[in-house]
Amino acid sequence: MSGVGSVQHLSSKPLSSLYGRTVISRGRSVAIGVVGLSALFAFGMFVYRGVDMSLFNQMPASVMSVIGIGPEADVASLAYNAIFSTYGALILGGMAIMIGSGAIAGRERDGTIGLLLANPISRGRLALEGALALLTLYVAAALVLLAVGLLTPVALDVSISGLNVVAFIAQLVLGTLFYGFLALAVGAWTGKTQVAIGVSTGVLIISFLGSGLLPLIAGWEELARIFPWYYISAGDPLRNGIDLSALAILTSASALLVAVAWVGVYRRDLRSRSVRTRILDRLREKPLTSTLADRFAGRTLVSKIWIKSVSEFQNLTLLVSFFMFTLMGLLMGPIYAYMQPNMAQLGESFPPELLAFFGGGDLTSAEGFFQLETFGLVGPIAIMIVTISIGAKAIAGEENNRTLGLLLANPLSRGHLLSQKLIAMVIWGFVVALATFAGVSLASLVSGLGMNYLNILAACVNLLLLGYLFGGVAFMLGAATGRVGIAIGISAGSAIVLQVISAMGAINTGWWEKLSPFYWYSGTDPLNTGFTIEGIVILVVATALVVGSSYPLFNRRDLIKS
Amino acid sequence: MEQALVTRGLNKNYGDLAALVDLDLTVEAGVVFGFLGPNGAGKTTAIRVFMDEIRSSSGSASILGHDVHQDSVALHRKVGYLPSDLALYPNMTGTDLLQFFANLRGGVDSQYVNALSERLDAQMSKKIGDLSSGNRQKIGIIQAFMSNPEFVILDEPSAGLDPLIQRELQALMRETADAGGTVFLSSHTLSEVQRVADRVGIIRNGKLIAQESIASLRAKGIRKIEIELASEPDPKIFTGIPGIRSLLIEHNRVFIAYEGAMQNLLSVVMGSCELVDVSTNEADLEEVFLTYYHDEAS
Repeated sequence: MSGVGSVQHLSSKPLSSLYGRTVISRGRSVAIGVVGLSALFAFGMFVYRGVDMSLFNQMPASVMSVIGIGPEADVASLAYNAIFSTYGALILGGMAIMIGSGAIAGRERDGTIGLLLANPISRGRLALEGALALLTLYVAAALVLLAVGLLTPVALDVSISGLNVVAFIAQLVLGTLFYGFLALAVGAWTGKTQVAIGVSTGVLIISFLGSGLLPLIAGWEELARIFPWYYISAGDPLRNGIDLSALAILTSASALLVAVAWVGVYRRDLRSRSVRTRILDRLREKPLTSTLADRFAGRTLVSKIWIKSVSEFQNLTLLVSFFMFTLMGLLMGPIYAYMQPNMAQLGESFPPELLAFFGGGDLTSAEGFFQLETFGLVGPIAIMIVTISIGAKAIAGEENNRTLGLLLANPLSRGHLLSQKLIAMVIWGFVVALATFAGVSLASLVSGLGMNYLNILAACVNLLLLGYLFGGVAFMLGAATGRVGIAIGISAGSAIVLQVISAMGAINTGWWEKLSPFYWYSGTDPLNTGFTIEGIVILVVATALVVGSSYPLFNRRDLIKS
Repeated sequence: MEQALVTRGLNKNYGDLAALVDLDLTVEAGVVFGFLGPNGAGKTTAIRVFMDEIRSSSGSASILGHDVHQDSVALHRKVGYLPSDLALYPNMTGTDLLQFFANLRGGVDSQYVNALSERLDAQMSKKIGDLSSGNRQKIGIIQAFMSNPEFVILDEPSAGLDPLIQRELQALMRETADAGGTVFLSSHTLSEVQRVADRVGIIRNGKLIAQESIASLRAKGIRKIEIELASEPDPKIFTGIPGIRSLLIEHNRVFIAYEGAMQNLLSVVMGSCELVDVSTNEADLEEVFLTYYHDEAS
C-alpha cells in the first residue's frame, strides 16, 4: 500500500517535484558562489582592518554618499559596500541570469521541454516554477550571507554598531534577483538561451556602469534612477534601513517580469534544439546572392577547424568588441571631458584604497579615469566573457554536444585539435583588445585628452594577456575534464578571487599581491608607466604553462559519452 | 585470410565496473561482421576503444595492422565511423558538414558523395538541426562511407531509417565487403545482422560469448519441420534420431522441432516411408540468440 501511496504522491504534485529538482540542481552552483563571496568578504574585512580610516574621512560628504559610505567611514561599511555591493552584486546577478535563462529557454535548448510539458504541467507553471526556484535559492543565499555578514565582524572584532546588515543584504539580493527574472522573461518570449543571457547581461553591465557614472556628473545624478542597479544600494540601506521606494520598485519590477514570462511562454511555438538562422543563411537561399554567400557561409567556414570555431563565436565577440570600442572607449572621452571640471573640484577626494576595488586609478587625470572605468572591472570582464567562453567550449563544448567523437574519428590527433581550437581564442581575444585600443585612442584624440598612445597600447596588451591567461585556464579545464560548467566556473571564480587579492594589495601592500595576475595587469599602472616587461613575461609564461598542460591532460583521458 | 581487426585480452574498467572483459575478437578482411548483443552489453564501449575515444584498461586492439591508440591518426585515415546516437552540428547543412569532414580527410571524391546522397535520398541543403532523426542518420551514413574506407564501423546504423533506406544501407555494406573492405556492424537487431553479416560475435556483460559464421549459427537453430508422408509412420523410427526436441504425429503429417543437420533426419525418414512433402520454417536466429543468453545466464 505504501508503494501505491508514494506513486500517488509523486503524480499529484508535479510542480513541487519539478521545483525541487531545479532548486537542487542549481543549488550547488549558488552554494559555491555564496561560499566564495563569503570568503572574499571575510578577507576584505580582514584587510580593511589594517587601513587608516582617516583618509576616507577627508572626503567630501557628497562623494561619500555617492559611493555608499556614510559621513563617518568605518571598516565595516567599507567592507560591506566594496565586497557585497560590487563583487557580490555582480556574482549574484550573473548567477541569477544563468538560472533564469535555464528555466524555459534552457530546456528548449536541451530539447527536454517537450517531454516535460507532455506531463500535466502547464507552460505557465513552468515559468512560475522557475521564478519560485530562483527566489528560494536567493532567500537561502541571503540567509547565508546575512550570517556571514554578522559573524565575520564578531570574529575579527570589528564594530558594526549602527549598521543595518539585514536591510543591506535584503536589498542586495532583491536587486540582483531582478536580472534573473529579466532572463526568465526574455527566455520565455524568445526561447533562446543566448538571447536571454545576452540581453540580461547587457542590461546588468550597462546599469552597473550607468548607476556608477551618472552620479558623478553634476546635474545628471537623478538619471541614475533609471538603472535597476541603482536600487541595490539606493537610500543607503546599511545605515538607513531598507529603502521603501527601492523595495517597492524592485518588487513590482520583478513581479512584472514574472508576469511577462508567464504571458510570453504561451504566445509562441516551442523550439526544439535551436538552430540559428543567420543573414548569410537567408542570402544563400536566394539565387542572386547564393554563390557569394555560399563562399562565406559554407565552403570557407568548413575549410579548417579553426575557421569554423572562429565563425561560431563571431556574434559574441563582435558584440563585445563593439561595446568596448564605443561605450568603454569612444564615449568615455566626452564623458570625461564633461566631468573634468567637476573632478578637479572634488580634488583628490577618492582615496585609492576605495578605487582599488574598481580597478584603481585616480579620477583627476584622463589616465586614471580610463583605468577606473574601462580597464578597471569592465575591460577584464568583457575580454574574459570572450576568451573564457571560447576556451571552455573548445573541447568540452564539442563533448557536451556529443560531436567530439565523430570529429576525432577523422585523421587528426588530439593535439592538433587543441591547437586549432586555440587559434579561435587567440584571434577573438586580439580583436577585443584591438577594439579597446582603437576606442580609447580615438577618445583621447577626439576629446583632446592628450593620453600617450604607447601607454594605451601597453594597457591593452596587458588586457589581452589577462584574457588569454584566464581563457587558457578555461581551455585547460575544459580539455582536462570535458565539462563546460567546471571550466567556466573555476576560471571565472579564480579570476574574481585573484582580482580581490590584487585590490587588497593596493590597500595594504604585501608580497602576496604579486601572486595575482591582476597585479601584473594593472598594478603597474600601464596607462601612466607603459609597458612592464616583467609583467608581460609573467603573464605569457603563466598562460603558456596552463595551455601547455592541456595537451597531456587531454591526451590521457577518455572522452565523455554524453 | 587477412585479419582486419584483432583484439587480445581487451579490458575496460570503470572503477569496479568491468565494461569489457578479456575480449578476444578477430575479424577477417572482406566480411561484414555483425557485433550482436543486448543494450548495455559493451558494444559501444568496444567501439569507442577501437576509435581511441576511450583507452583500454589492459590488452590490445589493432585494426588493419594499426594499434588503435598508438597509431590512431594513420588508422582513422582508413576508417569510416558512424557513432550510435549520432549528434552532428545542428547549424551546418548536410553539404557543409560533409565538406568539413572531407577537408579534415584531405578531400574525398565529390561525385561519390553525390551518388551516396542520391542512393539514400538525403536532404543536403537543409540545416541538420532542422532534419528528422532519420534524415540526420543518412548524413551520418554518407559521412562514414564517403572516403571509401577500408574499414567501416557502424554502431546501430539503422536507427530511425525507413525499411527502404535500411535495405540500401545493407546493400552498401555488402558492396563494401565485396570490394575487399570490412564492415563492423554493431546491432541488437538480429534480422538486420542476419540479412547482411557473414560472421557474428555475440557479446554480453562485456564478455564475448560466441564468434562464428552466420551459417553455422543457423545450423544450431531449432527448425520447425513439417513432413507429409504417404501413410501414417511408425513413431519408433524417430526415437533414434538425435536432436529432435519435440514430435507430433497427426495421421500422415509429422511436426518436428529439430536441432541438427537436415541430412540426418531426412535420410532416416526416407529410409522407412514415402515422402510426399517437406516444409521447414527458416532457422530463427532469435531463438539461437536467446539460447546463448540462456546458457550464459544459467
